[in-house]
Amino acid sequence: MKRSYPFLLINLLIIVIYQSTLNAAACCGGGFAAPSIIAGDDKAQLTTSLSQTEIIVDNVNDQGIWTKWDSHQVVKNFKLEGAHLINDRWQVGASVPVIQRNFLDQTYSGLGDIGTTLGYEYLPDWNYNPYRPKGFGYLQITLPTGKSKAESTNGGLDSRGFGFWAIGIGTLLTKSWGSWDAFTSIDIHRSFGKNINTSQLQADLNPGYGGNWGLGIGFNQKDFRYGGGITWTYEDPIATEQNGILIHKGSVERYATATANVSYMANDDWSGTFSYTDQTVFGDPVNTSLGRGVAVQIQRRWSR
Amino acid sequence: MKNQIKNFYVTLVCLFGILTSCAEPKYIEKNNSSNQNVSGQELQADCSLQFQNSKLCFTWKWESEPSATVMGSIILKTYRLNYLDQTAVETDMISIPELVLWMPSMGHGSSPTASERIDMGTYRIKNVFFIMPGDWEFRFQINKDNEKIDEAIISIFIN
Repeated sequence: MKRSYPFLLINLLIIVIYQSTLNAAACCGGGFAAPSIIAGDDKAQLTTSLSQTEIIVDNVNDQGIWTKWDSHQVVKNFKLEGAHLINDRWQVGASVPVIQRNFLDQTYSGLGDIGTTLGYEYLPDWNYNPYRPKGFGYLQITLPTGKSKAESTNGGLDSRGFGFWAIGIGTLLTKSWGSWDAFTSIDIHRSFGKNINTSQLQADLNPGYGGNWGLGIGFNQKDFRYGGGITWTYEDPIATEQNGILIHKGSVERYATATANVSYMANDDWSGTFSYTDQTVFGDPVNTSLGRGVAVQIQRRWSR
Repeated sequence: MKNQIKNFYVTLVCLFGILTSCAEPKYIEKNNSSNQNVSGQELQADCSLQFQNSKLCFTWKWESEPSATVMGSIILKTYRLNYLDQTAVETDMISIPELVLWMPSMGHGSSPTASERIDMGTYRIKNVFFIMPGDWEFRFQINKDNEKIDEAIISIFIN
């Protein structure tokens, strides 16, 4: 069934916004990579994005106490994401981030954690049901190509990712009513331990489970979409062991990322999005840093 | 069926309302008192701080306190208690102590420090710099042949 242009617009922009709401923790590394999913009627898409985040609250400790200094880290993230259908409902995708971190006169940059996605459209919206959403499920594997903060010997300035192998499953549900649309997403992932041997730490690190839950709404007018969303992120404590003995049990990491954005769909093939994100507004953050940032995304699509 | 779906959406909206309650920042006013609490050990020399294996006692104090942009330095003194009257007898460690700055909650360190011996049982540790405020640990380590053979850990809050 051929879908209408406004319908396509909404679905395409929802997924662009969804991807922009899955942000890494501002401090030293990052969270689970956002999945690359084709939500529209295309056979392939390529997304490039550039974001800049300034850490506003340098540290929120495990008691939820906020502390900040006058000088802050600035993190830039350039990301390439691609996805391609392998048949009518199955698709594969990958995301490759390059991250630069700057603090005072020090700048470090390099490859972040690469994410690979296998997606399946389990709830197609072929009959425009007024209630039932469109649904995607996905399996994601994250490659620890970005150095973890524990491996860093300069306070995490050269950390560019979570740094652990991880596997996760998730779902994305989207729905539109007239000019309005909404989405919700949830993912759960399991990260796997590794041995660290640096001048500062010789230990086994054992992370656990983590997850993201996102909600968002949008209003569509002609070729523009104005939207907002929130994503709550949780990571289990990372336990530290030396010679099989637990020396630090770690503490959970928790934060919420609010996003406001405007998107423009130039034509069937191209769209662009400008986003503002803020991690200081919502939630009850613990054991993290909080940042504010802006991002620009450009997406190229190839129709079926 | 439609009612069930409606209820699902209503529940989702209610959850959204609960979860989008604004964050409540709990800031600590900036002062240096918390940084200075531990340095009072310098005057006491009561062996309340010890290395884990050698049981040698130590004290430390800021020679220059670090800030968000400037490195600081520490004077570390190691000693044993006199067998007769329990007074401090300054004693060298088997090697120059090294200091690792570590943030246990976040699981990362800071930039490397540099240590030098000044006198019997007296060391200066330079390049002390915290990448962010918060709960930190001083990990004084004694290494031999690139192996850690002794350690003493102190918790400190950097504001």
